Amino acid sequence: MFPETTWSLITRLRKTAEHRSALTDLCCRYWRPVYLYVRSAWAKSDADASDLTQAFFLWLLEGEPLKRYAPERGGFRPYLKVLLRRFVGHQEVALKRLKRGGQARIVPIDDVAAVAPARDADPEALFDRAWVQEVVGQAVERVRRHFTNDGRADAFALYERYDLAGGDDGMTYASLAESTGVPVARVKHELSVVREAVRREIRSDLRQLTTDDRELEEEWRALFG
Amino acid sequence: MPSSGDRPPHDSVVGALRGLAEHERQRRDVDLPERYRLGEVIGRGGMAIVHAAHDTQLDRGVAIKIMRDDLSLEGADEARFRREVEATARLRHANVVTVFDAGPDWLVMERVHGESLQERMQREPLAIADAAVLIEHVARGVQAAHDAGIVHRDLKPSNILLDADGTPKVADFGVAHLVGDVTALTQSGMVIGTPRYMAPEQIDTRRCSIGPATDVYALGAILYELLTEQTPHPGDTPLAVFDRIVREEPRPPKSLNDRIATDLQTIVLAALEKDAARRYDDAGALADDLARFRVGEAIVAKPPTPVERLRRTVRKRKGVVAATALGVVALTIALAVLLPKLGESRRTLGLWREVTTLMTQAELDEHRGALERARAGLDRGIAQCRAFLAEDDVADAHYFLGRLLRARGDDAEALAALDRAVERDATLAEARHERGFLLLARYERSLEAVLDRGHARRSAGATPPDVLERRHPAVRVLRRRAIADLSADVRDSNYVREIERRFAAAEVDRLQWRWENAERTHRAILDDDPHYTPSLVALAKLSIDRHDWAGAIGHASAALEQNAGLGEAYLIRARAALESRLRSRTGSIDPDPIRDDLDRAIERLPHNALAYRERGRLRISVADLDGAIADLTNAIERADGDAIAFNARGRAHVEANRPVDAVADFTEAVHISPEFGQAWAQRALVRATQGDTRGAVADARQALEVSPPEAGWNRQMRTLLAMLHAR
Repeated sequence: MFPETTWSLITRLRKTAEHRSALTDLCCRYWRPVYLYVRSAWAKSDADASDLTQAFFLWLLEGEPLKRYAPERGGFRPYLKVLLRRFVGHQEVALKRLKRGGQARIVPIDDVAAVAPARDADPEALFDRAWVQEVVGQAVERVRRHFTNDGRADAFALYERYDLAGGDDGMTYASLAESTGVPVARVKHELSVVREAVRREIRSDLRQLTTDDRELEEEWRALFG
Repeated sequence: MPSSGDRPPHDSVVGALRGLAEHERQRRDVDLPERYRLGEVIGRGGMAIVHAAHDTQLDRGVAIKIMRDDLSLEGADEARFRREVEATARLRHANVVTVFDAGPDWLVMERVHGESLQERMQREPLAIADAAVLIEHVARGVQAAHDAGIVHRDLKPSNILLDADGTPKVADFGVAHLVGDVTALTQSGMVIGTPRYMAPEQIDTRRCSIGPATDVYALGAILYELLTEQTPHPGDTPLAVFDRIVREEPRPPKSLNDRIATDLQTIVLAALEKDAARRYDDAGALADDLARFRVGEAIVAKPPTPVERLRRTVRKRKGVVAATALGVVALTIALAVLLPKLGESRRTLGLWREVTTLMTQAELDEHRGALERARAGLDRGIAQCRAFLAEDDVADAHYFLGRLLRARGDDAEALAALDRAVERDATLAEARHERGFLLLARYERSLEAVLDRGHARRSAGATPPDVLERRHPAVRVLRRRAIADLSADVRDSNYVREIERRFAAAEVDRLQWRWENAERTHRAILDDDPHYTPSLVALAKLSIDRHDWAGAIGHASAALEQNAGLGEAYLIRARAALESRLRSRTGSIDPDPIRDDLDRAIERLPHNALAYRERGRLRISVADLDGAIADLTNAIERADGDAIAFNARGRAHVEANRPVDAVADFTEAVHISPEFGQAWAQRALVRATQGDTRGAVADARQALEVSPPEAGWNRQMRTLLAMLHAR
């Protein structure tokens, strides 16, 4: 069958070291979305939002919410949003427990402060957008490394100019071919190869984060709007 | 450009997604010319996805609609689609969304930056005057199409887009209805979705043909909703809405909103006349009257005279046999699909028309609780088929007969009819397909008869179906036959709808224990048609298979909301409730609703052994032993070898202090199902009390041998053995 997903690993191994590492992995993937949600929902400063995000994951890790998650009732990401909404009432308690302490940080906090959300942004929309960015951005990065290491940086460069550069609506395969001196047929082929690699990366990533095919397809569709 | 290792900035993610959308399209082989660059998804419907896009040749933004891959059109349909699109593409009107270009499965349109009327309505109600002006403009746009000989046929608020300055633009000419024809039917001929804006003649073709007045009706219905915040014929289910569209006059808008001017009410009601000939001739005439109303001139439409009102009241009482009209829905569309293909066998086609009408009518009767009438209707169809067969022994008529008999709940006769159909024409895939559903039902019943859910309750998990099948090869044979029949290729069928075909494929998945696939397909079917009850019932069964009793109850209840006549759904709901009750050990759930469900199930499925069995088991638990024995006897008579029914009746006999009968029943149970530990254990106990020590010892040993270690009676059996040895 399918390789074990992060999620099924978590449900299988409650309270073991492996469980903890799988959960940490999951937290890493959702860290930015949660942070942005927390920060915009309660208009917190960066430091407070980071603490609250930390507290949220601790609450998630130790409390009941994860045990109550029933994959057949819906995807994990929507469930996480439900939990976030519910977290509002628990935040102070969670924060206190965090301060009382002893807990190691679950995830390192890097450059989150750089992405302060607008004050009036819808936290759920921010959450979803951050998630798309996380999934797509990381997949593109992996493909980039992959192509660079395999000596196919030129193919990725075409992809970068055509897809990633965005903005230029007027660009066609022909105009890209002309400006790079690569034949049109090759442009099309290389683009399709890189896009397929990105698609595969995203889907294998999503498979890790979902429990079944249905949820996978839902998440895949969710990426596109 | 982000350097390696950095997170790419947001717009590169947007670009990557755009590239991926393009890639998906290429993977699917949609032949969109290269001049169009796809952008983000801006809309998603049942039939298509709409992308924002850029026309690089003309350097302008457009919207591109890409049909869903399973709805691509072929042959005559494609030709018709193209003709319509070409005609639509010539339309140039401020109130029509311009079509620039089209291919077999894509359409390039003017990009409208705004919301749909539906979204606008949900946001806040429009002022009365604004609503009238809006519909006046929309009607002008529709008139431009009428002038070009195009009827929209599917006008609704979601098809009317509002530009940034509020100008309405009508979209989807000649597209929606065509795809609608292909997918509009469900199992017995119901149209999908809630047909809120559909004109009576779209439901009952005997009235008159579809034409510009059909669009006038829809415009009237939309205006009615804008003015009153409700549709002219509200109803919770398509069945109810149909019924009202054909039969009932809408409530006068002024009775819902007294600020509406009398003339405006007259205009709306004139557009909503049931008889198309009494409506405005076309959208332009409606627009003209709305314009007259706007500037305060006398309008052309006249309110109905008192005599006319009286005539309508009488007609309403007589009911215009709404059910028959419903049946005609099936005909409208079935005919369009069938006529060209079946030219040579008009007689068979005529019979099929009768059959679909009767089946739809029966479904409606069942929903309303008129079971006798439903049965009488089906019996009439059965008699017609038999009379037909007496003259002309064709496979198709045997097939129709099989469908009617299955709808009637007479599975054995239905199976015989379908066997005869297959015998006469081995290529009649529809007959095998239909037979597959019967075999599936029989398989499920056989599995029930050997599957000891009581056992599963007490052990860690259910006995896997494959293990059960190894012990009961006959069950496996049934399953394989069901799979083979349900896999019959009915893609080109005249009688089987697309949705039924998808349903069968999902059921094959369920039969092969690919539960996730099955669930996904059923959910996809329900996404397309939330009213398709067979999929709701199948989801309920999947929940039962997974021991998700709450889920089963939810799905079964949803099915019953759509059609209160579904005996099978009552049965599933009752069983799930019963299982959760037995499982909870406290047994504190109220037995009355379960009992009600089982009564309804038995009333609707008098041939169904399982319904009797479950009611019998319930009756044991409330100490109604005579009733239980009567039900279980019925169950035993209707099933071929139901070990659980025998075991349950044995228990009832024990409680009623009839040990001899009890031993006889337990003996039957273990004979049918030698691994039935509970039956062995119960027989051991009865025999022990009867002084049959040797028999009791043998039974207790057997019970211990076949039962899983966690079975609840194991300790009891060991104690019994110890006592008997001591004796």
